[in-house]
Amino acid sequence: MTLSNSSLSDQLQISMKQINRDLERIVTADPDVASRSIVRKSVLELIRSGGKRLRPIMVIIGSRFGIKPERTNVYQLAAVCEFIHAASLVHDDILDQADTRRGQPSLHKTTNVQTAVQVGNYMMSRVLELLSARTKDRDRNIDELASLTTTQLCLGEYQQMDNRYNFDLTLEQYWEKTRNKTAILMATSLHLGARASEADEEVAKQLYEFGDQLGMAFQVRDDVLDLQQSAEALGKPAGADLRNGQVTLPVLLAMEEPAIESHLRKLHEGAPDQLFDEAIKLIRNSGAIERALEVSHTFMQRAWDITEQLADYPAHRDLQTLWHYFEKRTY
Amino acid sequence: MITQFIQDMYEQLERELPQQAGIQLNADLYNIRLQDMAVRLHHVEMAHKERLALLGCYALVLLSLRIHDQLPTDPAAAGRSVLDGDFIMSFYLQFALRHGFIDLIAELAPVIKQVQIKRAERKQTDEAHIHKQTVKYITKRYKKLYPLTQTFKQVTYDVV
Repeated sequence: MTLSNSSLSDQLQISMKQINRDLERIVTADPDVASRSIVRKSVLELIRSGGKRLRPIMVIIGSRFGIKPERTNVYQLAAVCEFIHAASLVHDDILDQADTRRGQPSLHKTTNVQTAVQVGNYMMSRVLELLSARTKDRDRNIDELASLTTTQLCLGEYQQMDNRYNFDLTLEQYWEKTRNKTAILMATSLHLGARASEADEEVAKQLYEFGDQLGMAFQVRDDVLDLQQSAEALGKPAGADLRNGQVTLPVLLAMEEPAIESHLRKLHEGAPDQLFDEAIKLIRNSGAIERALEVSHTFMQRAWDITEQLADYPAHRDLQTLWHYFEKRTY
Repeated sequence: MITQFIQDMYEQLERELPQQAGIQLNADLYNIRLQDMAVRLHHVEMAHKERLALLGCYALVLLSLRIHDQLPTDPAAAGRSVLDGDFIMSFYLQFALRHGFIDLIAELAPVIKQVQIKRAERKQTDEAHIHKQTVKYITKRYKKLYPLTQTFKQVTYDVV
């Protein structure tokens, strides 16, 4: 699902132009990458294919809670967060064997798997090169590098991969995977922005919590959309996650009904489409979609509460603007 | 002695590796680059745990690069290997930071990146530069490198 984000950045008075320029500069200013290199071409295409730029926006908002907001280092960090996210998507598409991304062929389809893997790797290494080369404030560098390592993201992928068609998945396992795959990088983006602008540590922690709650709500809603919307609206078959063996929150909730549980347990890789179609219909009619949305709403409510706790900071309004953006997406 | 040192290093990595990934590192005790690095580290005055950690960092970088360079043709298996390579690289970063080697990350990042650029461009490359850069880092950091033996020089010539 791609939503135009110009209105969000306008409302927050964040320059998308500058974010995009900083993003492109990460590769164009790299003396090791030739101007005609497949690496440069691929990275620029990835950046120019769009995206919501939520993570850089979060870094910048986070910085508004500190005493040195929106300095050059904040914009650089913002670009770095988006670069890591984009690199992870390149590898994600290979893992998921996804042919398209944002309506365009995935990088491993326009090149090949080997090249796409190395382009994703390049993006991660370039970020490391930039972050680790900074000599000022070594302790902060260590913190930033540590929080930007993608170990948790990888663990989330393993959890997803190893639990395909696992209808014994517990809610606890589902939350852990969701947090690892989605929420942590959002939480980290806000936290990094706050730390970079020397915000109070307690405030930085609250911002992390806000990002975590928002990320969890975002992912639950994504899981709901997959089952709720039509193939036309999604641009992929309805229930694509389930067809791919992903056991998401609405599926887990629907399984509380024994008849649905026994139907879902018949699903496996290679099961006929008709069986999946029936399962999706059963889930849609079970009330699980509405219950999952309620859970998403609970996360959103907790996030809102944090914005109110931060009411002494003028930037709490920016947090609420971001909240409204997510709320529109979640309801 | 060197084989035991490498074995100890793998055991340490196994202990620190997050279990959720379900990855088991196959101890490659006879890898010539690893052996060379182990010999070099033994010639430098430092605490044994530092020696183990440095060799561990080096082993993780090599492993990640090799996994991504030798992907299976089957798409599902390739996906798993991509994830394994990513995970090992991110674990290298955590491991290096945990053991106080942020400088090593800074030294190696550009050369790792150059290997990846060449591989994306389908150009010939190996890990020799990473080996050299790691040695350079160790030399610079510890400065008390003992004189190298003739045998050691020969090993170095063969692999670098």
